[in-house]
Amino acid sequence: MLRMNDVSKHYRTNLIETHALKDVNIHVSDGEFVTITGPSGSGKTTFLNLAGLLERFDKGEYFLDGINVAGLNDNELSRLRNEKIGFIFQSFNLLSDLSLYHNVEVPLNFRKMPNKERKERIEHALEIVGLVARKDHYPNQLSGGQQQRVAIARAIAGEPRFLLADEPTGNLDSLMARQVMELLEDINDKGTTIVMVTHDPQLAKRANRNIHILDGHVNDVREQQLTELPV
Amino acid sequence: MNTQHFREAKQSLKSRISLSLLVVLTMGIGIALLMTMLTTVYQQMRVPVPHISHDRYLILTDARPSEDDTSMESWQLPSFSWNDAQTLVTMENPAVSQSINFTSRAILEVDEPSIRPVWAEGVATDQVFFTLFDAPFLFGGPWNEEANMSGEAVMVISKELNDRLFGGENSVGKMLNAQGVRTTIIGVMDDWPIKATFYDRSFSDREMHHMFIPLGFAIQNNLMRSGVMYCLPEQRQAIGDVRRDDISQLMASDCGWINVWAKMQSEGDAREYDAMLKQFVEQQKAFGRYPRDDVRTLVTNLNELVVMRGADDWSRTLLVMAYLFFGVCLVNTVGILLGKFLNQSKRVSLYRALGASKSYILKQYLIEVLFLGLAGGIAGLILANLGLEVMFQVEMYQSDYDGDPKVVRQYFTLDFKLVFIAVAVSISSIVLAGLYPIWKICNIPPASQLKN
Repeated sequence: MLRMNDVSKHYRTNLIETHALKDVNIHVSDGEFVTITGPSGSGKTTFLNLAGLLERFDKGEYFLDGINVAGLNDNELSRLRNEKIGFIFQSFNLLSDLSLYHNVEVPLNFRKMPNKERKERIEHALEIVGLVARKDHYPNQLSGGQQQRVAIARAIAGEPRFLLADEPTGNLDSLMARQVMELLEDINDKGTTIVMVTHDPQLAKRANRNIHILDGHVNDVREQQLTELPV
Repeated sequence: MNTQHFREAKQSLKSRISLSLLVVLTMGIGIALLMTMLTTVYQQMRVPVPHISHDRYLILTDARPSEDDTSMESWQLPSFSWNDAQTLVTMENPAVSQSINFTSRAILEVDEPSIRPVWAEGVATDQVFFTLFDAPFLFGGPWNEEANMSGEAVMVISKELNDRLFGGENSVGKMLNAQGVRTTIIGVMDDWPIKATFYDRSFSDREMHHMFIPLGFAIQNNLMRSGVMYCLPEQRQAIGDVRRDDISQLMASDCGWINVWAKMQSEGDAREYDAMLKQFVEQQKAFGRYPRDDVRTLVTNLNELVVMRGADDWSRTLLVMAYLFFGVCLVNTVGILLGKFLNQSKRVSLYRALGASKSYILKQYLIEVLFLGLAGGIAGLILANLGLEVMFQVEMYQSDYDGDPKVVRQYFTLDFKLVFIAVAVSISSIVLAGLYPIWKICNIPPASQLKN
């Protein structure tokens, strides 16, 4: 699903050059649930941005679902993001002036689709997260956990093969976090590949494997080692 | 573009609606001022009888004495003397037809005592005048060639005068007194779509002419001459009152008061006419006339005449100021649009992350900007109408309410072309103003503002 070979990314200002990722080699297979951990500033967000085609890398190769993304232009990258990737953010990023229905609709607006199919997809996604009855409500009428479920519905409405979640439980209490995690696991069980950034070792343990990033270097922790992660 | 772009644009317009309104207002005020001044200049520069203006030529020469060092553009040169005008129209020349005229005034009375007499201004001319300038007739028609100089008491009146004196009825055959002389009405002209009385070179924009009389009738009855007249002091002394005293002395003098127009088929004919005119001047020099070293001649068609004359200095100055003010409005619009668009950075950032391409964002904001431009144009037109009404009132006040409101208003009225210009200027300039803000918002990196 995702293969990065010797991918590097650095940021340059007038004064300094920061190596955010150095020669990263990562392979995430179809249907895997992978967590990304690491301290603040280690390069997790940079990795997520590169994996989600939100930023371009400086060196290396990146294949997403078999497509070499290195030479793609903005339109091609946008289409790939729209069709292959679903994003879940820590702060939900729902649009407060849109109903839940229209929030979930947003990624579908960027592709051609018959209205009937669009409606079915939106309602199906809301059904999966258990909020179809509240489709006409607005985000500020929901709890944090419910808002994150709407964000998940938005991410899966386009039926992507790959979900990128950036600390999706970071703003939730433990009960809501557990519910969101269970929802993600259900989605993963149905075959969607998930890469999730988290600070929570307990959540990291629930994944197939964990990738630990430190100072821009990757340490790929295999499934059997996950139980040894410190709590 | 699809309906989704329009939906997004509508959503964007509604968010921070105060800024949307501010853009419309800023553009509206700029457009209003620009269109107000543009209208006055445009209407002053309108070519009369545009469908025939290319082959209707004004003829002028500089017969002034050498001592007269008044600076004059060619189109401002004095008119011809009666004798010179007669010579020009009778000598062999390349013109298809020629017409001469001078401005006259008379008190007109009808037999019905309940209708008050009117002071009417008009032209004394020949029958060619009506075909030369394509004058439209509502009733009747012009006099025949014999009546030009025979002194026959006939008259063509304007539609407005006909409305006033005869209630709009067909007055052909009816009588009225012109300075006490019984005169038969032989024609009523329809509304003539000209902005000013260009044919007597007064370019009067306050009142149109209401009577058209044969030269012979005006001469025989010594009707008043009310047009511009160029007479040297000694000539004035000899003639007396050049406007009211015996016209035969004026006709014998070298005073310039007769306007000469010609229809020519080609520019080549016009050049030939000019050469003939120069030759005429040379011949006259032998008799001690046309004393200037380098006597200017002018054979120019109506189109060129309008350009030469241009708009008045005050209007042109105000137009330049209006352009500058519009520039300031555009700069302000750039700032407001930038603030408005960047306020939506987070939304755009999310859209980009979820798969919106730059071109999608570009189209959405372009639609929004076009809508704002259209709204600004409409607001500008509404305000421009107010501005033009104020200008009209000022003009009427300046003329002591002496001008004909219908005629004066023509100069302060938007037509379809101006409306189109206003909307086109508004839309194109707001697109220009929106380029930088749109470029800026299109280049918001995906997900750059979604972390917190």
